[in-house]
Amino acid sequence: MTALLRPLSLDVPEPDPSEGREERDCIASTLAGDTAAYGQLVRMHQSRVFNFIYQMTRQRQDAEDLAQQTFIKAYRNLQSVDPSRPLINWLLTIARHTTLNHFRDTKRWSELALDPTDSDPSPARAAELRETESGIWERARARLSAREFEVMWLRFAEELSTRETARIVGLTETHVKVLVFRARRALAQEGIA
Amino acid sequence: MNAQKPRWICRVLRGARALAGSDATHGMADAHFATCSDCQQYFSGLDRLARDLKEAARVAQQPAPAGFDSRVLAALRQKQPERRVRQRRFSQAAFAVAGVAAAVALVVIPLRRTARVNRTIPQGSSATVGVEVAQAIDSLPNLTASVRTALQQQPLQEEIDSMSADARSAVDFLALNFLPDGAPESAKGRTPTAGG
Repeated sequence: MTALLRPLSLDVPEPDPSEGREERDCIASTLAGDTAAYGQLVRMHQSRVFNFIYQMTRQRQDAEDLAQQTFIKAYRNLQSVDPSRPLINWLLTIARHTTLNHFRDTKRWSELALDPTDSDPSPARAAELRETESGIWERARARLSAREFEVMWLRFAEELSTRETARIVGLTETHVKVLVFRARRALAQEGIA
Repeated sequence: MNAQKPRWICRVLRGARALAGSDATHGMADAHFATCSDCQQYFSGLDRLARDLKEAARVAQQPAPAGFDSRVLAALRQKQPERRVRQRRFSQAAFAVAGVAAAVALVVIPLRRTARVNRTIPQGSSATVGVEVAQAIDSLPNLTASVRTALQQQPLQEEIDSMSADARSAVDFLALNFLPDGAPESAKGRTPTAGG
């Protein structure tokens, strides 16, 4: 039984602090006034930040604008970054707040349409989406609430720990576990799992 | 997944395991999971879901827009001069406000001080007080002639009196020229000594 349960462990280990040396160097250089070092930080994390926002907005242009706002806010507040946390977690926190503010000003989650480039896919593309694994997230998005979806994305796509996920979304770890439990159950009921 | 609704004990233990974490061990739960085929199927399904979600996320990754980092840096460069201009405008406004405040203080403080002196020294007694002060200074021993002269001249008091007179003249001038005609004569009756 133990052998059966062990692979189910979803708690992602905390990152090795030595892995972020380059990141810390870039942060120190940026704080010293080296803008090029900040460009390096942007290149390191732009893909994850952009994808997280894109999953929330489903609009490529909005995601790009919000990602840019995220990095500008991060630059202005870089002196307050917690060196004990990976920078990406802090960036995702800013990205989430920026995106939620965007939702407050525009549409609610449930009213959002897919990006025009994705909303009317060609038959081949539609078949591909159905077949490929990326379709799982599309179906998860249709089935889950916004909060459940973002928690699931952070836990499984970003592979963050429960603790880091809780910090980013501003919930307790227990709340995150409950959301994950419910979301997985809902996905199982949909036949996704 | 089992299409049938799971038993009560299965649901409770699965929920407890989800909250406690998959690494947590509990004798009763472990014993149940070891023997319950439904729960084993459930957990293997969850394991597969987690694996599929991770794989799907990699497939679903959108490439970051080309030149994104350059645009961020350009936006930062654009906004920095704006901030400097705003700071310079703010400092100019702050200096202007400070200047006005200093001017007001220069006018108001001597007026208040003079009014206080006038209240404490009755009219007509200033000559008596001056004599008393002069006598007191004369009675002080060990004063050099220069110190004695400086004390008797009271330059600070003279300066205050001068500023007070100037301010009072200014106020009288303003009252005479800008107060409405129905204003009390006490406010307008004085003849301006400056600018009139």
